[in-house]
Amino acid sequence: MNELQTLVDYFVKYPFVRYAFAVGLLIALCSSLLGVTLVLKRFSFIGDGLSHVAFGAMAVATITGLTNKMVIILPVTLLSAILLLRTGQNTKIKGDAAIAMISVGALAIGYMLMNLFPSSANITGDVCSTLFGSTSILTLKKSDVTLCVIMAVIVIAVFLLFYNKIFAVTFDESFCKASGVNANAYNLIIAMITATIIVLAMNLVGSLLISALIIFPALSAMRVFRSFRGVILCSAVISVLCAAIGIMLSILFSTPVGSTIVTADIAVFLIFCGISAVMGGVHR
Amino acid sequence: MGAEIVCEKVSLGYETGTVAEGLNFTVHRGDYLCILGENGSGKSTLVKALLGLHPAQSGSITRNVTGIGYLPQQTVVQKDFPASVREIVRSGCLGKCGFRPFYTKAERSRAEQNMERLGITDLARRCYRELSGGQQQRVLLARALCAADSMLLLDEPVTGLDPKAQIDLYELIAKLNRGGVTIIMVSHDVHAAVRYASHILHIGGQTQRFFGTAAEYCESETGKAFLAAGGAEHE
Amino acid sequence: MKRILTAAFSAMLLLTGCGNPTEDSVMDLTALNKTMQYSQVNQMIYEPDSYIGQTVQICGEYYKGNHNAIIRVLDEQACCAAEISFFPADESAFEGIENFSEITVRGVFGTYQSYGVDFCCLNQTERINESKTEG
Repeated sequence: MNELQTLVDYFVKYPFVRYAFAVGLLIALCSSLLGVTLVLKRFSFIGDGLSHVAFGAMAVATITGLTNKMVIILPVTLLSAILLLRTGQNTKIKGDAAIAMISVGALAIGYMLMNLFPSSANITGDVCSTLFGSTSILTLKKSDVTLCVIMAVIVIAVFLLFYNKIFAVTFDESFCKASGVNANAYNLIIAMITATIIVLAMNLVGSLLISALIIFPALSAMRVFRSFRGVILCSAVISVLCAAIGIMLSILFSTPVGSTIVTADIAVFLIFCGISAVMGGVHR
Repeated sequence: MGAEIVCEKVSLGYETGTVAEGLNFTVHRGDYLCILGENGSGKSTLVKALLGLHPAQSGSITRNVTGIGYLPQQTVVQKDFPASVREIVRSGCLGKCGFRPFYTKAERSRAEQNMERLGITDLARRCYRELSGGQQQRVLLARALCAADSMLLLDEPVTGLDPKAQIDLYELIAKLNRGGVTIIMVSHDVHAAVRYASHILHIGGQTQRFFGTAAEYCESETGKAFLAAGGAEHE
Repeated sequence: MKRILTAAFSAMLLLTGCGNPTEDSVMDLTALNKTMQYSQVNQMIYEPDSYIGQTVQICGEYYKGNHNAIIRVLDEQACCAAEISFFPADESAFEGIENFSEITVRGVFGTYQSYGVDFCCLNQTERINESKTEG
């Protein structure tokens, strides 16, 4: 197909296309792994909440004029993730109002700060890009790619090493504590990985769409697969495929990258719903 | 006489106050202890204390067991969880894994044995959320046995099961007990307690109302009143 | 027609070596859609080393204020812009152009120093008067 030919051509000629695919696929992989855990712990909203905090942190970093904004964004997001996720499932019942306040507050204040202390001529464009991820994935530097690769490797390694424990802590925290597994420590690890991925994923799909990147592949996989391992693998495959397709389509047809990826995720979700209805299997 | 757990003059509570006090009881190897009491009487606090998850305010709890297999009450999250039975049963072995990221052959075969023991081997690959309530409880029981197979602590295991499934589960637990597993069960079903248990501990009004054999319980004032009332929240 | 040219062009590039453009060919970014063009210009500005000496053709908004004339390359949603200065080969070709009007130029990518900082620019820039290709 002609389009495919063009794409291969772009891939070869233009470094930013290679960077976009590398970073995009890695982030998609990491967030899908995490998505399963977060959805099952009933923390689907966390992507939204934390990404707004990250946006606020980014606004502060921008007005201070730091070249490496990660210095502010990452610690702030890590801290918020730990506060929100540390207490496991209990937080959902007690703290959802607090989370909503922090999330929306960070967004509002971030935007206000960017307007009061503008550091570039096109605020709306910058904000739009950060919130919706229009072109940030296509304007990465080599150092961004390196950082992303390192973090992705760490996240995947941690996930593989602690896979059994993450499963157990997600399924039944009280049992884990009773049998001597340090559930709090693993919840902490999950919180830190979540924060890291969200900060990275802001580049790919923008703050507002991160939740979709995290939850849709997991939800699709859970429609059809019956073991935790199956769900994780399927979720990873779906996420990476949709990210690849999304980036390809948006490069070829000039659509915004974030929305295209999420559209692909939604399409796959509907397909999997269909499959599960046909299989007549799963209740929910 | 293997005294596995000894509670002496234990009182339990939180910063807000004492929930139960004056707890004195002993659990020997092979016993089947049923803990009865109304909601809020401190049963769940006692469970946490016995597991070592919550310190006693005063008194002492002595444990002479290598580990206690715990069967907690199911959460809403779990009923809908996409995991195979085998994955869940194996997770009982995690306590012994330390930092090791995989299960050893010994641990895996122990999981298979426990599934065999509870008659759920043919469910090994099935998805947990597709099972009936009774089957799910058996899976969790197998998991608890993987964690520690000399003593089990069961928190209201028959809640939400239909009558036939309840009886099946009671019979299964009794069979395990006859096979040498010490059982501690928290329950509100006084009739079943009296029927299956060897000892009864009744907590109420922030104190210990009774501890002794099941036969003694039936003769006691507390026991008679509770039995007549049909138990506190008998559904 | 353009696709065949691009395919042939890329086949040529593949033969000459992966990825990096060679100095004796024109990198025609106007053949790409706007977002691709913006991304590539951005890439060149941030990692200029491998592009110095490369002849580039780009299309964007002309702007001349008190300093050098620049081309502003926008992405499809007009959300972001990459700005690159250019030095005309012939001043007269660029007379009378209104600010923010679309023009196509071809020049040699390079850098220049201003107040001790390196900036990117196009040298010997010519104005191309072809109708804008499908963006």
